[in-house]
Amino acid sequence: MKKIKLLGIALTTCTISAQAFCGFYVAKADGKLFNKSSQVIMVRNSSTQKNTITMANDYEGDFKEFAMVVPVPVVLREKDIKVVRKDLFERFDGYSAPRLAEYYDENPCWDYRIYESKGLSLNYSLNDNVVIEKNKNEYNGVTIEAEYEIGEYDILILSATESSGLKNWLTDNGYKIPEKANEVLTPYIKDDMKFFVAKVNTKRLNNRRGNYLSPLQISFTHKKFMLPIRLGMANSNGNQDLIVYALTQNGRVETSNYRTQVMPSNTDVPLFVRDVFGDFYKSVFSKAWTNNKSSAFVEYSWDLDGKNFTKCDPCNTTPPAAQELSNAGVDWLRSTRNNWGANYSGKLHFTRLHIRYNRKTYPQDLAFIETKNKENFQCRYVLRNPAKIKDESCDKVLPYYQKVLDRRNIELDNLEDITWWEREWYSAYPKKYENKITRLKAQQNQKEDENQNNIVPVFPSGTIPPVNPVFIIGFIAFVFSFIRLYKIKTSN
Amino acid sequence: MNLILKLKNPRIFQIIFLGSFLIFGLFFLEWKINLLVVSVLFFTVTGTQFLAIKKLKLSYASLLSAIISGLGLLLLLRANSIKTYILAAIITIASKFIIKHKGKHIFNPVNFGIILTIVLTGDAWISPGQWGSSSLYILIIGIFSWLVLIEVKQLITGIVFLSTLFILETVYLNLYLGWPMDFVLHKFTSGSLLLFSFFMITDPRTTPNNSKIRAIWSSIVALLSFCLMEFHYLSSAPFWVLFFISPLTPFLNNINSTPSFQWKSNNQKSTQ
Repeated sequence: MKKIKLLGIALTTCTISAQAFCGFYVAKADGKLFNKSSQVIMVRNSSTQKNTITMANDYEGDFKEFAMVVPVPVVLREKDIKVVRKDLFERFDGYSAPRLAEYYDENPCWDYRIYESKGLSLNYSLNDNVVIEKNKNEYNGVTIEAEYEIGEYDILILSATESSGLKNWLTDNGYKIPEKANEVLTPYIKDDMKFFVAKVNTKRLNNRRGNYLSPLQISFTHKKFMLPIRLGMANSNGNQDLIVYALTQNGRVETSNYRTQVMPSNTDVPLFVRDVFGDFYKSVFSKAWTNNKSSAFVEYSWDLDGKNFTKCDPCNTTPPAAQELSNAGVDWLRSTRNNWGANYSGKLHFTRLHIRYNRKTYPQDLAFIETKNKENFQCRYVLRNPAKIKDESCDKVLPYYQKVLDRRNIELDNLEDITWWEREWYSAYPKKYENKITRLKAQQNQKEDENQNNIVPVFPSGTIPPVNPVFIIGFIAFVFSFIRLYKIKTSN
Repeated sequence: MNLILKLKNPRIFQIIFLGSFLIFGLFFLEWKINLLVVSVLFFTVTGTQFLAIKKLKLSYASLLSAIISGLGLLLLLRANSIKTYILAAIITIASKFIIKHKGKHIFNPVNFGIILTIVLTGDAWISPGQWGSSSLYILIIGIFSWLVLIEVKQLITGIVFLSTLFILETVYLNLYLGWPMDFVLHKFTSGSLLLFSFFMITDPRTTPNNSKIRAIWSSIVALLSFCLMEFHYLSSAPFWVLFFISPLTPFLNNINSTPSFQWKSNNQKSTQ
């Protein structure tokens, strides 16, 4: 029996049978960051209403068996469909991923300065393969509006008048459509949506270098600024993660039919987070999502106007260049020579949204609006490394240790606040500085004891300042009386 | 309860409800406004209103309606720059005194302020998604208490608007396209839509005087909003529809000459 693997891409529509989907992923508990996640680049030119949608393709199974169905509002022309380089997603992900900024305390006995290190980037691993068994069926007529060969894909644009006809056609051609898909196909058909269907042509794939599938890019001019997510969850009860990189002219992109909120950010976190940053961020996201299950989360939002010099701070990677933006479908920028840290001029805003959706909390497809919000936002977590102090004799060391201890307690509070992790698990983290403080205090007391044993100070060190005037007056009286005595003696 | 009955001024309740929505948004929904914006906006609306009171020798009670307008702006309008908020506040209050026909406002002041600021500055927008479905319950509680406390007659406009829209959406999305009912209901979880229905379109000073005409008028607003939302994908459609349909009100009032609405107050009758 031939097996067909399908991509559960954001727009995925297709072919996802719930049980197969969930069962498959539950069994596969590997170290991928967000399972069942998809990435989409959406470019919207608000003046021409041109949308360009690029869908990442991390399909890892047998390429012969890859297939994808996406509802689109218009019949796409050949020039509206492209394959783009895979590294475009890596670039956008790297640039906008949640980051760690690392600072180093200077030795407290010197001037206090801050250094910032390069942020760590998260690589979202996508794993959206679904195994579905083929099931032969008879089919009714469906109009094939267009047929193209693009890159390694054979592409069809279908239109249908009845969901059962479309369903049968897809099933007959090797796309297994879940039973419940009818519920979703019908509204799309009645709303005059067309269906973009892509399959891999192995002959052309073999003529090409590299063992991967290229991301597919589609462009169309339409008032709709949305992503159809409903078909992908036709039969699925599980959660799916979607990362949207939106590139627009005027400002931050928000979902108009769901709440859009920002992730917790700019928080000081314990140093051990560095080694488990992926798990840490997963927990941060999971907690934020649990509290607001039908929200879209802003992970990054930055004004990338050609004139804006600060295109990231700190930068995970270099900001996207004109060529990469153009590959993603940004058609309104003018290429210039390197100017203000960019080789383009024009307005541009980069928004990264992270959406975890399921059938219950996301009853509608994602509709977007482009706001005028130009506020920069990044998901940034801060590590503060304490200074390494070898010589503890300086009297600023003890207050510094106290400061580090307080800071570590705050960091643990923050950790408990934004993740599912509990502070009791990490009691060793502040303990290290508690011990240092205890040891240093004991040493100082011992020194004082030693001092007291050796010499008996005229004025105990702690009491010198208030005694000073008394001492001076006494000294003057002493000198004065000595002179008087001397005078008495000499006059005699 | 006695105290509530004594107060008798629905505008005080309106301030309490809108104010609690604002506090909820500010502290629990992390809206993109801060206390500085809030205080500057209140300062501007009351200041502008105060100037008008001095100039036109009006009652000081009209400061309450300026505060309501300020709250409306803070709940609905978003902008990058604080100057944009100041401009919106001035436009909103000034429109009440400048654009009038036979002693009645032509435009709902907050609606006029929002639309004009969006068009003029290019720095402002409406965030329909800022409420989220979790805050829906709070909004509904607020709106129900509002319904109980003020005369239902005034709210009929909002109810007609919302139910017409609901019928149209259900017929189109559920019966025609075939989306399940939760798809339709999700549309009505929008905080901006509920605020529009119960605090903006219900404004008795900008709606037609005759109750029958008012009901027809609000269902026309619903029909146009439905068309813009479903076929032109404009999420803030009701605000635009109200803006463009408002100039019709004086003509509709000419058809029937019911005396125009006055806010009832214990001590004095205000004119603005």
